[in-house]
Amino acid sequence: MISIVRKSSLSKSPDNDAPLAAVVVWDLPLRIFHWLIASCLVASWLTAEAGYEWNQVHLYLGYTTLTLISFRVLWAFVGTPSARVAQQQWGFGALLRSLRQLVQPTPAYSYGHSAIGSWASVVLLSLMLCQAMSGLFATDDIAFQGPYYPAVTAATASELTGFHHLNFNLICAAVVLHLSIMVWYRLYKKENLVSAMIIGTKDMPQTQRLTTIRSAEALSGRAGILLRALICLAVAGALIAVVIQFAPEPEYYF
Amino acid sequence: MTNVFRCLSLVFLLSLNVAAVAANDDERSTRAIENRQGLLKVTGHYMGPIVGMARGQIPFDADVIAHHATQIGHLTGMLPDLFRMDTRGSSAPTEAKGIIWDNLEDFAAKAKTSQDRAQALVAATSEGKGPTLKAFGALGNSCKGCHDKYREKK
Repeated sequence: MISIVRKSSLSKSPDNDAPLAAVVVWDLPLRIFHWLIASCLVASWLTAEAGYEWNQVHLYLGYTTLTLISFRVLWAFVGTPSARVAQQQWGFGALLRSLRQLVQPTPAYSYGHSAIGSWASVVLLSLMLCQAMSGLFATDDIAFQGPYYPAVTAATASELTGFHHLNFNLICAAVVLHLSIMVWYRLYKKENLVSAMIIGTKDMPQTQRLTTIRSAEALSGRAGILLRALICLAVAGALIAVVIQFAPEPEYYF
Repeated sequence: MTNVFRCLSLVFLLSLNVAAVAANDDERSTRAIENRQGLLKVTGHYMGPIVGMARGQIPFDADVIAHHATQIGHLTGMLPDLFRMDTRGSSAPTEAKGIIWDNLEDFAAKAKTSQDRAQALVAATSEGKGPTLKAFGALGNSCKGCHDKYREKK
């Protein structure tokens, strides 16, 4: 049902004179994913700073991050249109167009991400994926070791730990940029992207194509979407559980 | 002319001497750095199994922890001795920050905190698993406190 929204129809700029109506732009699983991974990021930072009582929690947050990102990758193929890779624009032309749109003081009315937003989400999620993966090998040479620390040489573990620390700064920069863009949209472009990520709907010009999208959402059914999301989450969780399960046993000497 | 020659020879011989002393200093610094690193490696050796027990990867054993914590207490007590030599000019690779030798008192105080907490960990082993792991967390935090300030961040 979802596939009736074609890529080509999404690229046209909306008719700004059309009356506005609330349109579902983000499905519920995607919104939950967004706020969970945001919380995970903040909690991981806090538990990394809070001392050894929080070691184990930091580790579990890393596993959760890996699971969430795996879920998001699956959701990019079987989620609702705005979540799908195939329904978003990635080309250079679209990127230039969305950059030009970004500096206009008018709402973008994007259904899902703009081209630049699509790339930004890939970059941000890749940074977080690299962070969680390097954490698996990391050590602080005191009492913290990731589960895959014994799998590599001490020198490699040290390199990856260095990367883990460096990459955190990159994530911070990306998050600051992400938040600045939200403020930019709100104040300059008069579009509230934050509320769209909370309640799922955005006020969009009523045009034929959006009515099509809305009916696509309605037809695919909420329960169906949630069930599909739960299956994706189960697959992602199982995948990460296997990865953790196969972590090598650390060697201890007495 | 002979005088000029003599002077030059003297300067040359003196500079050789300075180079020799410098090499000697560098050797001593290198040895000091290696000794420090050895001490901390041995400390890591004693930490390892307690980390494994804290994470539930090996069975909890209060006696082993008590023994290891005793040794860690001795080892952390040696830190101020082995860090006394200022090795800032050394060419040997080290993660020790130069500010250690501007803050030797604080450095020694931090080592003492670790030593106290290692001894507190020994005492805690008789109170069961919960208090033991809590005391171990406190010991780890004291290590981290010093690393954060005096060890080059990776």
